[in-house]
Amino acid sequence: MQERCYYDKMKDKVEIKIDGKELIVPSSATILDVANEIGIYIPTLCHNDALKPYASCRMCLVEIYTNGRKRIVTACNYKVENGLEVYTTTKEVEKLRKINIEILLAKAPDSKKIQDLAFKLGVSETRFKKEKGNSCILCGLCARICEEIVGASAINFYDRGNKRKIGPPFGEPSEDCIGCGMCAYVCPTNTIEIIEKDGKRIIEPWGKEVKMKKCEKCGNYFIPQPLANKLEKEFGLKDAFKYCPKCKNGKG
Amino acid sequence: MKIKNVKEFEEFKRNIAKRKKDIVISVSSGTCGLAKGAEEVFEALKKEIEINGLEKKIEIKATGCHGFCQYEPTVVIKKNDLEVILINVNEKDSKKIIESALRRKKSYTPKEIKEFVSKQKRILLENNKYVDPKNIEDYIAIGGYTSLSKALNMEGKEIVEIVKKSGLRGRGGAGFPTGKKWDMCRNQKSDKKYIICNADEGDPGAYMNRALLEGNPHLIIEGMIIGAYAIGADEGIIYVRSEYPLAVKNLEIAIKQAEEYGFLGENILSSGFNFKLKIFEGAGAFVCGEETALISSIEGFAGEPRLRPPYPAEKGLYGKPTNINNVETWANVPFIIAYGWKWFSSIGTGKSKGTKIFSLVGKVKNTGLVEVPFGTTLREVIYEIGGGIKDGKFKAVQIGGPSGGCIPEKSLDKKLDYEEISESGAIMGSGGLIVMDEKTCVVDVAKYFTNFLRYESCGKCNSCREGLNQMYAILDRITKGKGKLEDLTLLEELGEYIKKASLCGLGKTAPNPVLTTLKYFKNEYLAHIKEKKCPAGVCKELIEYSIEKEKCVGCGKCNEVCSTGAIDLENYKIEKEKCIKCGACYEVCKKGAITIK
Repeated sequence: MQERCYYDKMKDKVEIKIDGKELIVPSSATILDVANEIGIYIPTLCHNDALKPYASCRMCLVEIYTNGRKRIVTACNYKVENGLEVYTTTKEVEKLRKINIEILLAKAPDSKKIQDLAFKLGVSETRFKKEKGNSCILCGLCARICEEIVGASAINFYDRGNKRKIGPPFGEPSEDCIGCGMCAYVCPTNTIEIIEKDGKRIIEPWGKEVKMKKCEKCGNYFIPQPLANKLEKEFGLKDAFKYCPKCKNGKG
Repeated sequence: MKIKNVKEFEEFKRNIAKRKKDIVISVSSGTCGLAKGAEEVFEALKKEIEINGLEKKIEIKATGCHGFCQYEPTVVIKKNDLEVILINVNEKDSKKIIESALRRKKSYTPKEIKEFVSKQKRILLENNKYVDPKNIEDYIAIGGYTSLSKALNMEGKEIVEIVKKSGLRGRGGAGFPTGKKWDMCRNQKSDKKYIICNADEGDPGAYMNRALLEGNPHLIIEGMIIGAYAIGADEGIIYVRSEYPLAVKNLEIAIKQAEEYGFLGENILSSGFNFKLKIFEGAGAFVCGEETALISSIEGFAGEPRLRPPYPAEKGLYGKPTNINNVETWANVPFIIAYGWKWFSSIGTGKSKGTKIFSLVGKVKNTGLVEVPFGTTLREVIYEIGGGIKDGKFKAVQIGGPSGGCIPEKSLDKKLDYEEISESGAIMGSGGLIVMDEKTCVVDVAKYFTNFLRYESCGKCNSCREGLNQMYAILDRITKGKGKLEDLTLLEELGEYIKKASLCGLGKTAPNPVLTTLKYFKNEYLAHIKEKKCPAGVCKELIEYSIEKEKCVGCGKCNEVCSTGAIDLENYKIEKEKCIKCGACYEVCKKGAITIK
């Protein structure tokens, strides 16, 4: 018996079982999509609904069975298929998630988001060697949002293995960066910082400087100039950023 | 010249046979041979032939590696049925070699080589001795491209069936049945399909594929053309690492010649089948040997593995069905077509059929390339073929490279068979065999491989990248005498986690060296942790050098090489504060008076 069926007009449907619940779901969905839809909690760190799944943080591990074969996979990028059976809270899965967050806790001990998630999973301390300074967990959210949403591709991964990093090409402040700050907004460990002073916005750790635009009425700086230019050009908005939002709404 | 059809091909073969000279001298000129002076030997022999005006009688060729690494450069003289193998050849020997080649009436194989080849069954490697890789006619003369001509007369499906029945399995490491893989790709409906040869050999100490690529490139090309025809692909790529310049060069020449002779290109031997082949040079990332990372790399993206499904057979290169096989897998194909699946499946054992090439290195007497039927035991390979341990006692053999594991003495009677090796916690892998003696510290070996992998991981999965980093940190403190007993449980837990939580084959096998050494050599880990001792005398922080007064003859050599002046000759002492444990004194002392504690 199908317990629940969502999306009324599904073109391609598949039947799956998740934690014992039988469901009919669209074939384009991932395990995480389905879990979110029916209220099963799967922890994530590198996932953002606006971006393509990347599966780098390995937080969303689940146990699946396909044709009788057991596998441990990441829920965020595994597409559902007919006959798929998913278990999200087995002992093994819980153990793997715990050690995964323990390792992340060692990598970014001061991150509030990771501390909170660890607490939620019942981990209070890490047994592993804590790293000092660099708290980037290489989830790639910043690079992916910069490419997929902003369309600037100013930063990306470089090198490999334990030397893997994220940054602009050749470590130089990127010419393609428009200073929008989306990278800092999505960063789960606050590794990316935005500093605004003297009519400039500086994005650290990459040392990118962009000029801020002044409101023609109140004289306050309110948007990075390259960002305003890009928005005006791409959306055909003329003079949209003459005044700051406050002045524009007559509240300045 | 282009061979247009089977009839022309048969005639061409007959003509080549007539051109054969009485005496053929082959100089092993693979990368290894060249490093030991093969080019000088070749030039000297060539000059000698010219001086004596013997060009019509004696043919000389620079072939690929003969696989007797220990004894390079090696020379093989073939005179009708006679075969003479010469080892450790020097350019100064050229006169003697030519004279003896002319006089010779008996075959000769040095006893070292006799021992080395005794238990081998050289099918794939054998022709490296006879084929000039830069000359397609040499390959045709030994029966090359005959399998292709035979295959083009069959249905694709028929060929896939033959490969299936032969029991051939992927030689890259995992041992997936090749026929099944071909079938999956063949059954895909698509206007475009690709085949790829994975020649991104990167295991430390392994060079089986290099020998085939350098020495017999046409064998691989022929295998690929047959595979492409069976699968229905019209384009192939050989993904070879750029650190193999000679392999790249010989492949380029071979592809060009195969095009000229009509084995590649349009309407091959009038069969209506078109196939083009090109080379793609890898940039040296170990992870690109993983098939999905390899595909990403060809497409111009970073070498990061992708989630399967979809499998490459469904959605591979540029989203088209793609079949990837290892060099050695492709090289088996022409033999299977020539001699049939029954012949092939009669070699080997259980579910592992045919032969496998291993590069036998480390502390054995005879090192080199070993081709044995599956089912041969590790003991036979190490003691009979390898001639045993150089000096000292056997400790372990690392099979399968960084993804494999260390196998101890008690498991040496395990057969080389995909299933049996997996049971021991190691994997068959692509063919690396590193033999270690009692002077090798297994903790240090595990640390070495973990260090290799933590950089060679693509770095995408947190579990693989950070997991291996943490594993390395633990191993590092154990080798420095700072380990705790809990570290062993932590290593085991980490190992299981990395295996289960990582995406690709690299992460899923990366903890094997640590887990197998923990399984078989726990006492050695315990010695490092509890007694703060390294039983093998390798880990610097845990050893001390001292002078044994009774053995010392006072020659002073240790004092000469000591860079920190730590040696007190008068009192037969090494000053602890000054000694940096470089081991120079230990190496230089011929009397064995310097000891490690």
